[in-house]
Amino acid sequence: MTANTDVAERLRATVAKELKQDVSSITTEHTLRGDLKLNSLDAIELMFRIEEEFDLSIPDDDMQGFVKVGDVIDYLQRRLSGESGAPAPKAAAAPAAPAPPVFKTAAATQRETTAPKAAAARPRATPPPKAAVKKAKPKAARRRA
Amino acid sequence: MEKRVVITGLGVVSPIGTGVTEFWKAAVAGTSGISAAPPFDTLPMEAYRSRVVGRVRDFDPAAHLDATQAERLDRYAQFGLVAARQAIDDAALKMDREVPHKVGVIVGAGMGAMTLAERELTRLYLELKPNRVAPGFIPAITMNSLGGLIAIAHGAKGPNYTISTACSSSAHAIGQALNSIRAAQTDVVIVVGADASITPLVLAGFGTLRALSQRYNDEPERASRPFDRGRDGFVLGEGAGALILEALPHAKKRRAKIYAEVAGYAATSEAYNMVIPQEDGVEMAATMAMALRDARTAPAQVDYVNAHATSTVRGDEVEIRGIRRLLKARANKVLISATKSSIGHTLSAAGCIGAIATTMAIQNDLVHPTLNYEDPDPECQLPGIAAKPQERRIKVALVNAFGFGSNNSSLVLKRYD
Repeated sequence: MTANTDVAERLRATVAKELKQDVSSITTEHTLRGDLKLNSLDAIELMFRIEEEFDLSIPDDDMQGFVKVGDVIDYLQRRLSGESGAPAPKAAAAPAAPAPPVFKTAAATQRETTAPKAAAARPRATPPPKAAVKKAKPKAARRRA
Repeated sequence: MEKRVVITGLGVVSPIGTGVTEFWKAAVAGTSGISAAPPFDTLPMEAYRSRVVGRVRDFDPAAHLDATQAERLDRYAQFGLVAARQAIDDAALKMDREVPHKVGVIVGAGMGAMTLAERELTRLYLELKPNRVAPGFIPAITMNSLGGLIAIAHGAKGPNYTISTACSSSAHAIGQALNSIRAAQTDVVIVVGADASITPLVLAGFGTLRALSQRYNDEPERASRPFDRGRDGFVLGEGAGALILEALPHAKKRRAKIYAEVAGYAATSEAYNMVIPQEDGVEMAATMAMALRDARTAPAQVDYVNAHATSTVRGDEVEIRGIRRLLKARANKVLISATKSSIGHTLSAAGCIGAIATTMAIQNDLVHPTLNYEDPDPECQLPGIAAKPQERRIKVALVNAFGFGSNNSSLVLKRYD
């Protein structure tokens, strides 16, 4: 429980910092798009901050399940409690009620517009950050030298 | 009879002040906005050829913009948004009383979001995290980003485009706004020129091009000295200028204050050299002549020239040669001033800021001084250039703006009676 509370507090603090609001004004029931008025670019910036704070990578497809602040907290708690690396089941991440708009990234929106079926069927391609770093390093080192 | 177009609002962010009143007061007082270049992180500043800049100091984005825009927008866009809002307020333009599709936005942007671009590129190579590039990076570096932001901020749904012709960008923006209103495409155009490129890469680049002043690094206020024998290059400046242009009947109908008339415009290419003007000044003279013809005005009627005059050895000479060639005997009677002497070269904002200085000169029967004009260079000497403010009733004025890429533009502003 303590760990979960800690995650919730850290997340709320991260959101508050990003939005330059007092942490007490961020509740788990707040919707990201509606109540907190995040546009698609704001949302990506917020995900950057969350990824940095919790030292993990959030795949775009998982982000689409985030409607409320509470959804992000639930997701983080799952990821941090032994399910790390494993994608959260979509059904679990998405709210039961169908009404709220899905939280989308600009990229996701574009993907859906251009190739909806392919996007839906597309297996998750979590970017392998470590491999990318390894690959990029020698080139960058040469440039800076 | 061709539709007449007038200026009804002004806004400016400059190294000598934000807001037209402050800017004009400082320009007339001969205040220099040139200072030592700010340190660029760990870069060796002593290795920069030019270490003087016309920087907008004390600009607090948070005082003018919402928290997100203050944090995320590039500095050039922040300058442009602030200047545009000032001009709209000054013109008392109420968007809810306008036909939104008849209100255009035309922006002159030469360098665009260089601050942001350099920051993101540096961070990418240092941190090696492609997935951490700011998501707002692409919409910011597209050259029309400021135009979009202004339209969104004010609900201006008319034509929205950006002209990118380096240092003449915003003079062309005014000219294109004139043509848009003449063609009845728009009733009103919000014209903005903005640049904020005092960045590590741009200052270095203009330096290696040998375009910047190097001799006055220890005396920044003396570095920008158009027409003076001791000039040795321009001083990189930054800022934004905004003007509200509108059809005369439209301005009259809403009882707007009218500053001046935009009566003529010409755009040409020298088709000669990317960075150096043709030495004989023929092309600059031709551009000014075409603008005057467009304004149905004779060269002998010109009272004042707001010169492009960046303080480069060649550029200043050629411009005066062009003025002499066109105005002949009148060249000895016109007043001439170089706004860049006090603010440096604000690149794509220069056309708008020059037009604002000219509008204020027409309004106040007063031409601001050309700073550091101490030892007139015989190659570009005319009696109308002075280090002091000059009083004169100005009926017709030329505003010049020339840009890399061999392109020239001239505007004709007139007193509105």
